Amino acid sequence: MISVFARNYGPVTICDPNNFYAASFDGVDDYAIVSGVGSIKATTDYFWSYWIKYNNTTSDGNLRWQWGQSISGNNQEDFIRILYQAATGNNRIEFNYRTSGTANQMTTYWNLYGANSSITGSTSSTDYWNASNTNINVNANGYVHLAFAYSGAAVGQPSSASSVRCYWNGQLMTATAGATSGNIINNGVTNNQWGIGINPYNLSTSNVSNMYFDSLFMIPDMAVFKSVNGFGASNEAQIVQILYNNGCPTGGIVNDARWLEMEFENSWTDSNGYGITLTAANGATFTSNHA
Amino acid sequence: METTYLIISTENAQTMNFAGLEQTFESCRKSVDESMCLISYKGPMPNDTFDGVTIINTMDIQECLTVMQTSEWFIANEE
Repeated sequence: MISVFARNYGPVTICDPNNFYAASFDGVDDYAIVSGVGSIKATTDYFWSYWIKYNNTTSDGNLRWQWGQSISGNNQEDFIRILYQAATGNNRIEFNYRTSGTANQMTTYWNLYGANSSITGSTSSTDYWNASNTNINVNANGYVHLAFAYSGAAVGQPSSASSVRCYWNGQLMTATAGATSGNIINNGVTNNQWGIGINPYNLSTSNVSNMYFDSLFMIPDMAVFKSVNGFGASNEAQIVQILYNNGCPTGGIVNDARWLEMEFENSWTDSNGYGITLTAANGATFTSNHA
Repeated sequence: METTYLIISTENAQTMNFAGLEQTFESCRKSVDESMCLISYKGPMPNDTFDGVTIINTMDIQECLTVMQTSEWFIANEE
Protein backbone atom coordinates (compact mmCIF):
# COMPACT_ATOMS: atom_id res chain seq x y z
CA MET A 1 0.00 0.00 0.00
CA ILE A 2 1.14 3.48 -0.77
CA SER A 3 1.67 5.83 2.13
CA VAL A 4 -0.28 9.02 2.57
CA PHE A 5 2.92 11.00 2.18
CA ALA A 6 3.15 14.31 3.95
CA ARG A 7 -0.54 14.79 3.74
CA ASN A 8 -2.20 13.10 6.59
CA TYR A 9 -0.31 12.29 9.60
CA GLY A 10 -0.22 15.39 11.69
CA PRO A 11 0.99 16.60 14.14
CA VAL A 12 4.13 16.99 12.04
CA THR A 13 4.32 20.05 9.86
CA ILE A 14 2.65 19.17 6.63
CA CYS A 15 1.86 21.03 3.47
CA ASP A 16 -1.72 21.64 4.47
CA PRO A 17 -2.13 21.48 8.24
CA ASN A 18 -5.73 22.48 7.83
CA ASN A 19 -6.55 19.35 5.88
CA PHE A 20 -9.24 17.81 8.04
CA TYR A 21 -11.99 17.20 5.49
CA ALA A 22 -12.87 16.11 1.99
CA ALA A 23 -16.09 16.49 0.01
CA SER A 24 -18.49 13.56 0.37
CA PHE A 25 -20.97 12.38 -2.26
CA ASP A 26 -23.35 9.51 -1.56
CA GLY A 27 -23.67 8.02 -5.06
CA VAL A 28 -27.45 8.37 -4.94
CA ASP A 29 -28.04 11.98 -5.88
CA ASP A 30 -25.29 14.12 -4.32
CA TYR A 31 -23.22 16.47 -6.40
CA ALA A 32 -21.67 19.96 -6.39
CA ILE A 33 -22.01 22.51 -9.13
CA VAL A 34 -21.21 26.12 -9.97
CA SER A 35 -22.50 28.20 -12.85
CA GLY A 36 -21.21 31.37 -14.44
CA VAL A 37 -17.63 30.16 -14.71
CA GLY A 38 -17.17 31.13 -18.33
CA SER A 39 -15.53 28.29 -20.18
CA ILE A 40 -12.37 26.31 -20.48
CA LYS A 41 -11.45 26.57 -24.14
CA ALA A 42 -9.91 23.92 -26.35
CA THR A 43 -7.24 26.38 -27.39
CA THR A 44 -5.69 26.61 -23.90
CA ASP A 45 -3.35 24.33 -22.00
CA TYR A 46 -5.37 23.21 -19.01
CA PHE A 47 -4.53 21.13 -15.97
CA TRP A 48 -6.58 19.32 -13.32
CA SER A 49 -5.38 17.65 -10.13
CA TYR A 50 -7.49 16.00 -7.44
CA TRP A 51 -7.74 13.12 -5.00
CA ILE A 52 -10.63 10.69 -5.29
CA LYS A 53 -11.88 7.72 -3.31
CA TYR A 54 -14.71 5.55 -4.58
CA ASN A 55 -16.93 4.14 -1.85
CA ASN A 56 -19.16 1.86 -3.92
CA THR A 57 -18.38 -1.77 -3.15
CA THR A 58 -19.81 -3.07 -6.43
CA SER A 59 -19.67 -1.51 -9.87
CA ASP A 60 -22.18 -0.98 -12.62
CA GLY A 61 -21.54 0.10 -16.18
CA ASN A 62 -22.72 3.68 -15.81
CA LEU A 63 -20.47 6.58 -16.65
CA ARG A 64 -19.47 8.00 -13.29
CA TRP A 65 -18.54 11.66 -13.50
CA GLN A 66 -15.59 13.00 -11.58
CA TRP A 67 -15.52 16.48 -13.09
CA GLY A 68 -17.48 18.05 -15.93
CA GLN A 69 -18.09 21.27 -17.83
CA SER A 70 -21.24 22.06 -19.78
CA ILE A 71 -23.74 24.72 -20.60
CA SER A 72 -26.99 23.74 -18.88
CA GLY A 73 -28.99 21.62 -21.31
CA ASN A 74 -26.26 21.79 -23.93
CA ASN A 75 -23.73 19.00 -24.29
CA GLN A 76 -22.39 20.29 -27.59
CA GLU A 77 -20.28 23.41 -27.01
CA ASP A 78 -17.11 23.25 -24.89
CA PHE A 79 -18.45 20.17 -23.17
CA ILE A 80 -15.88 18.31 -21.08
CA ARG A 81 -16.30 15.12 -19.15
CA ILE A 82 -13.75 13.38 -16.96
CA LEU A 83 -15.14 10.11 -15.67
CA TYR A 84 -14.64 6.48 -14.82
CA GLN A 85 -16.59 3.62 -16.31
CA ALA A 86 -16.64 0.11 -14.87
CA ALA A 87 -18.07 -2.11 -17.59
CA THR A 88 -16.71 -5.29 -19.09
CA GLY A 89 -14.07 -4.21 -21.56
CA ASN A 90 -14.51 -0.60 -20.49
CA ASN A 91 -12.71 -0.57 -17.18
CA ARG A 92 -11.33 2.83 -17.92
CA ILE A 93 -10.92 6.53 -17.25
CA GLU A 94 -12.17 8.82 -19.99
CA PHE A 95 -11.46 12.41 -20.99
CA ASN A 96 -13.82 13.82 -23.62
CA TYR A 97 -13.83 17.35 -25.02
CA ARG A 98 -16.48 18.45 -27.51
CA THR A 99 -16.19 21.87 -29.08
CA SER A 100 -19.24 21.25 -31.26
CA GLY A 101 -20.95 17.98 -30.42
CA THR A 102 -19.55 14.60 -31.28
CA ALA A 103 -18.77 15.84 -34.80
CA ASN A 104 -15.98 18.00 -33.37
CA GLN A 105 -14.45 16.29 -30.38
CA MET A 106 -11.55 14.37 -28.94
CA THR A 107 -11.72 11.44 -26.53
CA THR A 108 -8.94 9.59 -24.80
CA TYR A 109 -9.34 6.43 -22.72
CA TRP A 110 -6.99 4.85 -20.25
CA ASN A 111 -7.74 1.25 -19.38
CA LEU A 112 -6.87 0.52 -15.78
CA TYR A 113 -5.58 -2.92 -16.72
CA GLY A 114 -3.11 -4.10 -19.37
CA ALA A 115 -0.36 -1.54 -19.91
CA ASN A 116 -1.53 0.42 -16.87
CA SER A 117 -1.89 -2.55 -14.53
CA SER A 118 1.37 -1.86 -12.71
CA ILE A 119 0.29 1.72 -12.08
CA THR A 120 -3.32 1.18 -11.03
CA GLY A 121 -3.19 -2.37 -9.65
CA SER A 122 -6.15 -3.48 -11.74
CA THR A 123 -5.48 -6.90 -13.24
CA SER A 124 -8.20 -7.30 -15.86
CA SER A 125 -11.06 -5.70 -17.73
CA THR A 126 -13.40 -6.73 -14.92
CA ASP A 127 -11.09 -5.84 -12.02
CA TYR A 128 -12.83 -2.58 -11.26
CA TRP A 129 -11.88 0.43 -9.20
CA ASN A 130 -14.17 0.29 -6.17
CA ALA A 131 -13.94 0.16 -2.39
CA SER A 132 -13.91 -3.61 -2.13
CA ASN A 133 -11.10 -4.19 -4.62
CA THR A 134 -7.84 -4.39 -2.69
CA ASN A 135 -5.83 -4.67 -5.91
CA ILE A 136 -6.23 -0.99 -6.68
CA ASN A 137 -3.24 1.17 -5.76
CA VAL A 138 -4.61 3.65 -3.27
CA ASN A 139 -3.07 5.53 -0.38
CA ALA A 140 -3.67 4.62 3.26
CA ASN A 141 -6.96 6.47 3.27
CA GLY A 142 -8.17 4.78 0.10
CA TYR A 143 -7.53 7.69 -2.24
CA VAL A 144 -6.01 7.90 -5.71
CA HIS A 145 -4.37 11.05 -7.00
CA LEU A 146 -5.36 11.87 -10.59
CA ALA A 147 -3.99 14.61 -12.79
CA PHE A 148 -4.96 15.50 -16.33
CA ALA A 149 -3.02 17.81 -18.62
CA TYR A 150 -4.63 19.02 -21.80
CA SER A 151 -2.65 20.73 -24.56
CA GLY A 152 -4.68 23.19 -26.56
CA ALA A 153 -4.63 23.61 -30.31
CA ALA A 154 -5.73 26.34 -32.68
CA VAL A 155 -9.27 26.87 -33.83
CA GLY A 156 -9.82 25.08 -37.12
CA GLN A 157 -7.20 22.46 -36.38
CA PRO A 158 -8.17 18.83 -35.88
CA SER A 159 -8.56 17.63 -32.33
CA SER A 160 -6.00 15.15 -31.21
CA ALA A 161 -6.54 12.17 -28.96
CA SER A 162 -2.94 12.50 -27.80
CA SER A 163 -3.40 16.04 -26.57
CA VAL A 164 -4.33 14.95 -23.05
CA ARG A 165 -2.28 13.00 -20.52
CA CYS A 166 -3.48 11.24 -17.39
CA TYR A 167 -1.35 10.63 -14.31
CA TRP A 168 -2.36 8.08 -11.65
CA ASN A 169 -0.55 8.56 -8.35
CA GLY A 170 2.03 10.64 -10.15
CA GLN A 171 2.70 8.12 -12.92
CA LEU A 172 1.93 8.78 -16.56
CA MET A 173 -0.64 6.31 -17.82
CA THR A 174 -0.58 4.74 -21.25
CA ALA A 175 -3.49 5.89 -23.37
CA THR A 176 -5.45 2.89 -24.52
CA ALA A 177 -7.38 4.43 -27.34
CA GLY A 178 -8.71 7.69 -28.56
CA ALA A 179 -11.30 8.98 -30.94
CA THR A 180 -11.26 12.26 -32.76
CA SER A 181 -13.54 13.94 -35.22
CA GLY A 182 -13.72 17.30 -36.93
CA ASN A 183 -11.87 20.43 -35.87
CA ILE A 184 -11.72 22.72 -32.86
CA ILE A 185 -14.58 25.20 -33.09
CA ASN A 186 -14.63 28.70 -31.58
CA ASN A 187 -17.87 28.99 -29.62
CA GLY A 188 -17.18 32.50 -28.42
CA VAL A 189 -18.22 33.41 -24.90
CA THR A 190 -20.25 30.68 -23.26
CA ASN A 191 -21.73 30.53 -19.78
CA ASN A 192 -20.72 27.15 -18.49
CA GLN A 193 -21.18 25.18 -15.33
CA TRP A 194 -18.60 23.04 -13.62
CA GLY A 195 -19.80 19.98 -11.78
CA ILE A 196 -18.16 17.56 -9.39
CA GLY A 197 -19.69 14.09 -9.37
CA ILE A 198 -22.33 15.11 -11.91
CA ASN A 199 -22.90 15.63 -15.60
CA PRO A 200 -23.69 19.36 -15.53
CA TYR A 201 -25.47 19.06 -18.87
CA ASN A 202 -28.48 17.16 -17.50
CA LEU A 203 -27.80 16.54 -13.77
CA SER A 204 -28.66 12.88 -14.27
CA THR A 205 -28.47 10.78 -11.11
CA SER A 206 -27.41 7.85 -13.31
CA ASN A 207 -24.01 9.49 -13.55
CA VAL A 208 -23.34 10.61 -9.99
CA SER A 209 -20.42 9.10 -8.11
CA ASN A 210 -20.26 7.47 -4.70
CA MET A 211 -17.02 9.10 -3.73
CA TYR A 212 -14.93 11.32 -1.56
CA PHE A 213 -13.18 14.11 -3.42
CA ASP A 214 -10.35 16.26 -2.11
CA SER A 215 -7.96 19.07 -3.05
CA LEU A 216 -9.05 20.10 -6.50
CA PHE A 217 -6.41 22.19 -8.22
CA MET A 218 -6.99 23.63 -11.69
CA ILE A 219 -4.54 25.61 -13.78
CA PRO A 220 -5.96 27.42 -16.79
CA ASP A 221 -2.62 28.35 -18.30
CA MET A 222 0.39 26.22 -17.54
CA ALA A 223 2.92 28.62 -19.02
CA VAL A 224 1.79 31.50 -16.83
CA PHE A 225 1.59 29.28 -13.78
CA LYS A 226 5.14 28.03 -14.16
CA SER A 227 6.54 31.50 -14.67
CA VAL A 228 4.70 33.17 -11.80
CA ASN A 229 4.93 30.60 -9.06
CA GLY A 230 7.86 29.52 -7.00
CA PHE A 231 6.68 26.01 -7.53
CA GLY A 232 10.06 24.51 -8.31
CA ALA A 233 8.82 22.76 -11.39
CA SER A 234 9.63 23.43 -15.00
CA ASN A 235 7.45 20.89 -16.69
CA GLU A 236 4.15 19.10 -16.38
CA ALA A 237 5.51 15.87 -14.93
CA GLN A 238 7.33 17.75 -12.18
CA ILE A 239 4.19 19.66 -11.25
CA VAL A 240 2.32 16.38 -11.02
CA GLN A 241 5.03 14.92 -8.80
CA ILE A 242 4.93 17.87 -6.42
CA LEU A 243 1.16 17.70 -6.13
CA TYR A 244 1.21 13.97 -5.64
CA ASN A 245 4.03 13.83 -3.11
CA ASN A 246 2.86 16.79 -1.07
CA GLY A 247 -0.82 16.21 -1.55
CA CYS A 248 -1.63 19.82 -2.16
CA PRO A 249 -0.04 22.83 -3.82
CA THR A 250 0.39 25.07 -0.78
CA GLY A 251 3.90 25.97 0.23
CA GLY A 252 5.51 27.77 -2.69
CA ILE A 253 2.38 28.57 -4.56
CA VAL A 254 1.18 32.14 -4.80
CA ASN A 255 -2.46 32.80 -4.12
CA ASP A 256 -3.73 34.12 -7.38
CA ALA A 257 -7.06 34.31 -9.16
CA ARG A 258 -5.50 32.73 -12.22
CA TRP A 259 -5.66 29.24 -10.76
CA LEU A 260 -8.19 27.47 -8.65
CA GLU A 261 -7.62 25.58 -5.44
CA MET A 262 -10.44 23.97 -3.50
CA GLU A 263 -9.53 22.26 -0.25
CA PHE A 264 -13.05 21.24 0.84
CA GLU A 265 -12.32 22.19 4.43
CA ASN A 266 -15.99 22.41 5.35
CA SER A 267 -16.32 24.94 2.57
CA TRP A 268 -17.43 24.88 -1.05
CA THR A 269 -15.53 28.11 -1.76
CA ASP A 270 -12.10 28.16 -3.33
CA SER A 271 -9.19 29.03 -1.08
CA ASN A 272 -6.92 31.13 -3.25
CA GLY A 273 -9.04 33.98 -4.52
CA TYR A 274 -10.23 32.45 -7.76
CA GLY A 275 -13.72 33.41 -6.65
CA ILE A 276 -16.15 30.54 -7.02
CA THR A 277 -18.45 28.79 -4.60
CA LEU A 278 -19.90 25.43 -5.47
CA THR A 279 -23.50 24.66 -4.58
CA ALA A 280 -23.80 21.34 -2.79
CA ALA A 281 -26.90 19.47 -3.93
CA ASN A 282 -29.03 16.81 -2.23
CA GLY A 283 -26.96 16.48 0.89
CA ALA A 284 -23.40 16.54 -0.42
CA THR A 285 -21.30 17.18 2.65
CA PHE A 286 -17.83 16.70 4.12
CA THR A 287 -16.04 13.77 5.64
CA SER A 288 -13.05 13.61 7.95
CA ASN A 289 -11.78 10.72 5.80
CA HIS A 290 -9.72 13.12 3.69
CA ALA A 291 -7.01 12.27 1.20
CA MET B 1 -27.87 10.20 6.46
CA GLU B 2 -26.34 12.94 8.57
CA THR B 3 -22.62 12.86 9.14
CA THR B 4 -21.56 13.21 12.76
CA TYR B 5 -18.00 13.97 13.81
CA LEU B 6 -16.60 12.11 16.80
CA ILE B 7 -13.52 12.64 18.89
CA ILE B 8 -12.56 9.34 20.41
CA SER B 9 -9.86 8.29 22.79
CA THR B 10 -7.03 6.47 21.05
CA GLU B 11 -6.81 4.17 24.06
CA ASN B 12 -8.25 0.79 23.10
CA ALA B 13 -9.13 2.18 19.68
CA GLN B 14 -6.83 0.03 17.60
CA THR B 15 -9.46 -2.56 16.85
CA MET B 16 -12.52 -0.36 16.66
CA ASN B 17 -14.84 -1.49 13.94
CA PHE B 18 -18.36 -0.32 14.59
CA ALA B 19 -20.75 0.20 11.71
CA GLY B 20 -20.89 3.69 10.27
CA LEU B 21 -17.25 4.57 10.87
CA GLU B 22 -15.60 6.22 7.92
CA GLN B 23 -12.03 5.56 8.93
CA THR B 24 -9.82 3.03 10.52
CA PHE B 25 -7.81 3.90 13.59
CA GLU B 26 -4.63 3.92 11.52
CA SER B 27 -5.91 6.53 9.11
CA CYS B 28 -7.83 8.84 11.41
CA ARG B 29 -6.53 12.29 12.20
CA LYS B 30 -4.72 12.31 15.56
CA SER B 31 -4.46 15.17 18.01
CA VAL B 32 -1.07 16.73 18.63
CA ASP B 33 -0.45 14.57 21.70
CA GLU B 34 -1.98 11.58 19.87
CA SER B 35 -4.41 10.90 22.69
CA MET B 36 -7.44 11.65 20.53
CA CYS B 37 -8.62 10.77 17.06
CA LEU B 38 -11.13 12.51 14.79
CA ILE B 39 -13.51 10.36 12.78
CA SER B 40 -16.70 10.94 10.90
CA TYR B 41 -19.63 8.66 11.43
CA LYS B 42 -22.90 7.98 9.66
CA GLY B 43 -25.55 6.37 11.82
CA PRO B 44 -27.65 6.83 14.94
CA MET B 45 -26.15 9.09 17.58
CA PRO B 46 -23.68 6.96 19.53
CA ASN B 47 -23.56 6.53 23.28
CA ASP B 48 -20.58 7.37 25.46
CA THR B 49 -18.71 4.27 24.39
CA PHE B 50 -18.64 2.18 21.27
CA ASP B 51 -16.90 -1.14 20.90
CA GLY B 52 -14.91 -0.38 24.04
CA VAL B 53 -13.75 2.99 22.74
CA THR B 54 -14.46 6.13 24.73
CA ILE B 55 -16.21 8.88 22.81
CA ILE B 56 -14.96 12.23 24.08
CA ASN B 57 -17.08 14.52 21.96
CA THR B 58 -19.90 14.27 19.43
CA MET B 59 -20.15 17.23 17.10
CA ASP B 60 -21.75 18.60 14.00
CA ILE B 61 -19.39 19.95 11.41
CA GLN B 62 -19.52 23.56 12.60
CA GLU B 63 -18.46 22.63 16.10
CA CYS B 64 -15.91 20.23 14.71
CA LEU B 65 -14.34 22.94 12.59
CA THR B 66 -13.97 25.14 15.64
CA VAL B 67 -12.43 22.39 17.71
CA MET B 68 -10.00 21.48 14.94
CA GLN B 69 -8.55 24.98 14.98
CA THR B 70 -7.51 24.68 18.61
CA SER B 71 -3.91 24.01 19.58
CA GLU B 72 -4.72 20.47 20.59
CA TRP B 73 -5.25 19.63 16.96
CA PHE B 74 -3.83 22.30 14.73
CA ILE B 75 -0.23 23.24 14.13
CA ALA B 76 0.15 26.20 11.84
CA ASN B 77 2.41 25.71 8.88
CA GLU B 78 5.68 27.42 9.60
CA GLU B 79 6.34 28.24 5.95
